[in-house]
Amino acid sequence: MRLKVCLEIVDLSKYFGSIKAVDHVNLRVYEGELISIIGPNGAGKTTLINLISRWLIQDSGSIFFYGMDISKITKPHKATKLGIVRSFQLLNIFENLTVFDNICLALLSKYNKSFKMFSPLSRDKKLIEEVHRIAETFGLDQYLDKPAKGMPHGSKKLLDIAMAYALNPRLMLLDEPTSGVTTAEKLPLMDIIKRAVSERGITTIMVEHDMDIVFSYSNRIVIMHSGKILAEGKPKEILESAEITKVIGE
Amino acid sequence: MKKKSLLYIGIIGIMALLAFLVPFFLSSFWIFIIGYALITSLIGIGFNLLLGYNGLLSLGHAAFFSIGAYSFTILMKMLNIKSFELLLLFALAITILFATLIGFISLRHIKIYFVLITLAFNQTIFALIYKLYWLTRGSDGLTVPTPIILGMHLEVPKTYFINFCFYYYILVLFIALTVIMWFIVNSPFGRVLKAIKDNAVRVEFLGMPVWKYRLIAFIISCIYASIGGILFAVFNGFISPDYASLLFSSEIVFLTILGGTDIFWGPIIGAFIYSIIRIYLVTITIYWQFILGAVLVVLILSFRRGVSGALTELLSKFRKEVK
Repeated sequence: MRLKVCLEIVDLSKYFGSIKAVDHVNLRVYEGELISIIGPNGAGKTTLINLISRWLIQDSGSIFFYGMDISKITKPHKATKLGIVRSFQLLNIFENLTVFDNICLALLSKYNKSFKMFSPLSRDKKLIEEVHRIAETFGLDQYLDKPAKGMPHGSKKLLDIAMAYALNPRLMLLDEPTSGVTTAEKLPLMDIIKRAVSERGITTIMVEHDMDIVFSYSNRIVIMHSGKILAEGKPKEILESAEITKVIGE
Repeated sequence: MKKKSLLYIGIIGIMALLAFLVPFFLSSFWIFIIGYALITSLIGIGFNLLLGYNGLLSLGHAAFFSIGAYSFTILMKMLNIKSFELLLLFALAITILFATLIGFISLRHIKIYFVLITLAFNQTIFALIYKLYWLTRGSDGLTVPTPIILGMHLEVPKTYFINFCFYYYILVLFIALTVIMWFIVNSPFGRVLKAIKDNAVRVEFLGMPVWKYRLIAFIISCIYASIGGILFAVFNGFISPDYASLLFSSEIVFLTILGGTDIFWGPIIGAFIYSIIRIYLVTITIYWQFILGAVLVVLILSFRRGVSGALTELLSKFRKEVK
């Protein structure tokens, strides 16, 4: 069966002065895949995520999302509306709002209800139900009425991802979803994420440093080094390559 | 929750009843103070949509107050239109035009840049009002003729019209615009504004263009300031460039912070305290500015979350003790 291409990156480059953060990168991502991008610090992984999510604008090259050239998009909200969403390496949630409001905001955006001025939210039963459903999927239902800042770090990471998930994306970019989370919490957290994205068949690109997670959860692994893609392949192929394992070792 | 709502409804009901009784029991002087407080309350709740809900500090609201007041008065004199409502619509159209233009320029840059751009705009409008003597009568100010409200030709003395008819007009508009603002801040749009204050980057990544929400909030806020200016022009019967000054912009900021920006009713409480202290002190001492400054410093230092914040804390303490 021929797989549908979700994302195609063609000869993409981004420089910061003399630093080549992303250097002539080519990558094809198929629908429904969970790809992990790994590599040492400064390899260009987060820059690549920032370019795809349109937080950064490339110096050259193109990005195609389901055949549509998105490299001319200069605002992240436009990419989000196309179905490209992301979570962040450093927590990026609404700390002072309740967990309910955090998820609710994503749904308001999804259903284009965010400009409504004269309809109290309490009347939108469908939306409230959906907030509860998503909170349940990510194990956040116990915190719904509490300010997000009061939650444990692992739950905050899940909320960050739950907000992205609530937008019902076609491509989800996860920048170090388990960073700062205790070792004991990492696998349960990844199980929740994997289950959620698999249920909806969301194509996922993840940047991650924990190799156990990368090799357990990914369909394909992309290795970056000094802004370039050094290798890509299935977890098993990567493990068998001596050259690659040397880079991973760095 | 139900008890809390009942308590709030009860308090609001009593306040509204007291406000309705004002012209029957109080002197013209106090009617003016209460009317002025209602007008500044309106400006305050509009201003708080920006400051409290969106985290944007504008120093240009006196300009919008004056744009409303002056365009209303000038149009009334030039076009010889007497209908308050028609003039209000014209003046608001001019306000929206200016607000869109200034918002478009200033909201691309936030924090200190936004403050500075709105300040510069305020000073420009102040200078224009001061210098365009042929239109605004400069520092002499403009007297405001009595308009026709709701199409009714009321043949009553001017004092009666202002202290009775127009006072109620202000009160009804105040209630209507407060209810509208309450709906706005509790609507999905209001929630997005609060989210922008908390984390604008994430709002953008949730697919919502932050500057559009800021622009709409800015325009609504300016409309409230402008309506305040229009009501004041008629109520006071006179307008001058003083109301376009930075000092008046600062008063709007001050009364909002004094009342508290966290709570919806905060600016209303702040406006009443500020207006009563300010106008009352003017009548009893020539050193009113000194006393006003001292009283306000004490109030601000005593109530870090504003008077409304302190009242809320007191109320929750009282509830705990009763339990």
